[in-house]
Amino acid sequence: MNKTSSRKMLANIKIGLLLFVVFSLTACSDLGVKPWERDILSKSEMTFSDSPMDAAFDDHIYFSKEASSGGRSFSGGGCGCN
Amino acid sequence: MKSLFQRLLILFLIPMGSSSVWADEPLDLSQYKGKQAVYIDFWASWCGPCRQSFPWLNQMNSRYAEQGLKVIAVNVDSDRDDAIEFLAEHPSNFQVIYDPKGVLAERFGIQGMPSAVLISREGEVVSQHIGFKQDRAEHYEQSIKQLLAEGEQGE
Amino acid sequence: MQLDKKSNVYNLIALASCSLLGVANPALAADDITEDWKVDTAVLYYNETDRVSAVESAVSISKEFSGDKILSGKLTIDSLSGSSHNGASINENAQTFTSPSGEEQYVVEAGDVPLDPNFEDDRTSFNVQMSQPLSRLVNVEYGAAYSTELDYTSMSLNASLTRDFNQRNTTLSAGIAVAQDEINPHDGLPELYSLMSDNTKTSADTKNTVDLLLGLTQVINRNTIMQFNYGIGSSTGYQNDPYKIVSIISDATGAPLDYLFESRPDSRIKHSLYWQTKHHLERDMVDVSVRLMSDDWGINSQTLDLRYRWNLSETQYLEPHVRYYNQSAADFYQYEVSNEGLSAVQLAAQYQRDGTDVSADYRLGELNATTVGLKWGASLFKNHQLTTRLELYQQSGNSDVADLDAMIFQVGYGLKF
Repeated sequence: MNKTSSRKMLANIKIGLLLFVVFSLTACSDLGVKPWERDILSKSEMTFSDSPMDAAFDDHIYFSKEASSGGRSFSGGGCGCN
Repeated sequence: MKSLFQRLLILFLIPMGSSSVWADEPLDLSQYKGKQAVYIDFWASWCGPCRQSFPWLNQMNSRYAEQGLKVIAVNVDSDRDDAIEFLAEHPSNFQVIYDPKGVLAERFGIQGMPSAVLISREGEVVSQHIGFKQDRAEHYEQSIKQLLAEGEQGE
Repeated sequence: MQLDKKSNVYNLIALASCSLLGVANPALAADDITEDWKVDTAVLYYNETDRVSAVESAVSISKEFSGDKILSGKLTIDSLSGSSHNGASINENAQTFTSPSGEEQYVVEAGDVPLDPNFEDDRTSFNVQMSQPLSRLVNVEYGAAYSTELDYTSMSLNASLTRDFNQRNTTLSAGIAVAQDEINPHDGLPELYSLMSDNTKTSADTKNTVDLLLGLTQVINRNTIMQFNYGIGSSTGYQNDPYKIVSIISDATGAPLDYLFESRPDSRIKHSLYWQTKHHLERDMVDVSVRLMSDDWGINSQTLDLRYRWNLSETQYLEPHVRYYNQSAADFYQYEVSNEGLSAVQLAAQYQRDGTDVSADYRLGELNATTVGLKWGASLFKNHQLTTRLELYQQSGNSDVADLDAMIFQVGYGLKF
């Protein structure tokens, strides 16, 4: 990649990042539930870290057999306690 | 079932604003005014830290009830059966009331679960804290002591 | 008292493992009645029809300390063996190949998929992670991982930060992971643009990767939550599979003249967008996710993953699962190459002069795959979970070399105490 295109890409990434943060904070402020309405969200099946063993095995299998990998993370959701 | 006079008295004596509480169903705080300081704990069966807070609340209740502390645990489960199951595993020696629609939680502006609201003998909200952490237990106890001490100084 | 005895023994174990990691010892408190330990184990059996089979086992232990700190460690051991595609194309003539070590030879019949029958690998990896709050709404996580196999070692570090907003309805996260890999086959790496018949080797090489992941988790309503992630990764260094060759086919005869060791670009940048939704119904739950990936090798992929969790009771569930995957070929992917009227040696020299990238690894070619599976989970006693799953994976590309059928069977057990 030459210098101008990598600089452009960096600028694009910075703009994208800013938009991502602004969008998520503004658009998302109306969505959601009250802290005492998280009964269903607190169930382990509604969290993103529910079956980490399965996820790790799958990630390894698909990484070995295909050209793509990763994408997901595990934070957020849950009972929102403390 | 308060008379109009008592309701008006409360209106006069408790200043309007976020630190005031209304005496109303299902929780009538006016009965404690002048007599006891109230520690309200909002809890739910699905709230993990509540499993640790209950034994501590039992301790606080036994330790400070004589000094004028009233502990009230407000349950916000939408299904009362869940709350009852929780209480079977984590018994309480303090009063438990049910707020399945979250009316009380809304009124006190609860920001997170569990939440504690400390109300002085004068009926004013002195402090609120979000969450229960075992290693902060002493700090929480300190605020209870302060709550009780304040009331006494007023006399 | 039974409870105290139990917690003292576990605390001793904690002491031992913590001192190995140089972490401060947890207090030997007797009132340690909360479920602060979690242990998860699982064994997986993977079997491709006529190709590779593997057994993988893993153990993960985590402990929560005061101050909401969680320390966890995981050990994984894999053992693989079988036949694996060596990169060559199917030919109407029988083909003879030399094994990577240069000592053995194997023959592939006419019309058969060229598989190297000597594929064998054992891998051990472990990782350590620490998670702790920086303030009520901010959490930091960091860790290290190490993985080693016969010809490959990888060391990596990761760190991530999460912050909650809107009464914890919104969570923003940013994570970074860096890794350094060393590729060091016992008999050395094939020299760039060398031919299978040359058997010239060169020393070990390395690859460095940096990955960034930005995530947004948003509660939509009481029974719906979504996650949006954007990831960008950069990999520089030795990207080749040292055992994969490319068939040089004679224009005149249609028979292979020789085989060229593959040569991939020495850098790769990929972007991915991921969206997952979990929606809880009256009793059951639906989980859908989509991942789009695009890199500067010309590969574009789409992944769709669907799960339906059928809650049979409070303690038992069945979860059917379907996954669709599709990818386009890398710019430099070739099923086989023409000799262009030259000898193999001349062609290799031309590629070297031009710095041509070429690979016949079908995993870089056009590919689509489908997974269909069923998982069963049950809570035997309180805080004990048994799970088992069976999945069938089918892959196909634009030639028979990419046709693959595999079965995945896993049993797992987890407990908290």
